[in-house]
Amino acid sequence: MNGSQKILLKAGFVLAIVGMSYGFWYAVADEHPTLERMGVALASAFAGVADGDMQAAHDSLETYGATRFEYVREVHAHGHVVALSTLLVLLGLFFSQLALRERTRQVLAWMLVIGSAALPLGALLEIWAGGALGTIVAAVGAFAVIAGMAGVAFGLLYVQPGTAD
Amino acid sequence: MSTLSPQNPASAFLDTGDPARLFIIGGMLLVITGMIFGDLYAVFILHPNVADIGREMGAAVSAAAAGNADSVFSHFGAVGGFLENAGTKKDAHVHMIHAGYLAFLLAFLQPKVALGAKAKLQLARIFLWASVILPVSIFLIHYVGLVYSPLKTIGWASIFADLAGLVLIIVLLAELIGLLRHAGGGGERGAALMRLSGGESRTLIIGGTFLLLAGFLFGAFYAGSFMAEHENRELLILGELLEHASQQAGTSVQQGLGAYGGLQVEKAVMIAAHAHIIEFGLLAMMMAIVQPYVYLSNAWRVRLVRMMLAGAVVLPIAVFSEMWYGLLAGAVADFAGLLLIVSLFAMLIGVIRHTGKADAHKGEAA
Repeated sequence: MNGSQKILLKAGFVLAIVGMSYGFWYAVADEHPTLERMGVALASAFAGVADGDMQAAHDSLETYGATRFEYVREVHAHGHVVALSTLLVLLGLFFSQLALRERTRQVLAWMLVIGSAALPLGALLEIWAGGALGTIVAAVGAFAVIAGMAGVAFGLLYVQPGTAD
Repeated sequence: MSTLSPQNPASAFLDTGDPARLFIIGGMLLVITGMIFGDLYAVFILHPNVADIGREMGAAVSAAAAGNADSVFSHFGAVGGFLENAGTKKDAHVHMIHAGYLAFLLAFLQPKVALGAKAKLQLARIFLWASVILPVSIFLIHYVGLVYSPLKTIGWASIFADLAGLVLIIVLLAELIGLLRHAGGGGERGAALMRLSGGESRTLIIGGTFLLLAGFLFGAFYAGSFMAEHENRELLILGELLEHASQQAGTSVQQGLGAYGGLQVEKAVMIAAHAHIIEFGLLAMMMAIVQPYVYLSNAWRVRLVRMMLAGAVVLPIAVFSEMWYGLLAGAVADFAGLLLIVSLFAMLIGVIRHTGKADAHKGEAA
């Protein structure tokens, strides 16, 4: 196992454990209250119409929008970190066979690891920090993963089947 | 035929490694079961559920227009039930497939996990049991509800799902410790991690990589161009629905409900296309690694690889096309899913045949 493989396998495992732990915490502590809050807010908006209180209706709709914004990003963060960590471990199994120099493979491995961490972190920062910071972090992460995978694709086109590990 | 010679290092770990066998066969079974469940979910639950949600949503808006707040809450309660029904089934499908992927990867890492043979076998068994309990529990959440639950918001099915998830995390931690011990000099040395071998492996690994790239690019395009717009449009439509309901403008309410339903479909197919193309890219790459252990004729292996890649390309495109072609595209997607399931199942049979052949070789040698 060479350096680039170690980077991918260790980071992949750590990210998988972090992503699954986040999913565990989310399922236990946050998901049910969030879904409840979202449903009640939307129902309250239309109940506000029924009661003739349009201000309350629009306030409830705003609460629904904010809660949904939060829910979507929390689920995305969990889903993306687990999927990307799976990819890192998978790549770690055969990365030494890419027809690239080890130095280049290590750069690609770091790009993929940083991108895989930054993309879900950016989604969560969109909730926690608001503004453009989260979007920028997620976009940088997405770019790093896409560029890293493009490098992997290039290296794979020249793989010699059966090359030793 | 695939190479089975004991001299072939590529076949070494699956010939003797019980944890690896458990992980690889269990992982493939989990993925196959998850995919079959996903196909059944798409055919029998997804589309009827969308209609049910639309109907209840319309009734809730009508109740709001009629000034009946209690009825509004009652109809939104029904919407919540339908959403939970669909959501838990989708989550069961996704979690079963992902647990299968992890099991599959752990199979190939076993030579690099420096733990005792018994511990590795126990970890494999525990992981696979938890991988079954997790999606089954998620599936049951909708049906068990809060019956006899000691908690206010979480029922027994959720508790079991959470515990199964925790067990998976603990097993992964143990496997990571084994990997780190191996990196520190423990365990067996010199075992090749794996090697890509043969034309089928190459086709799958390159096909899978390009599927992943396409999925990532589509995801970036969706996030950059549609995600915020969809969120804003949803609030805009709902805001207009509130106004139309308060004015009792029946035609406008119906138009608003139609726009809301259309937006939900648009969002769902874009996200599903993105998710599925990435899932199948990962699957194709994993199956590239397993090809040296698929003990079938070369002709059949080539057919299966083509079948898998065809399904992997067609399914996300068909899902995306559901925006314009509705159920016709849905039927094509279901057929593509069937191609994937059949090819994966046939590869699993090849892997089982490989282990049998390896056992026979060992028996002859003894």
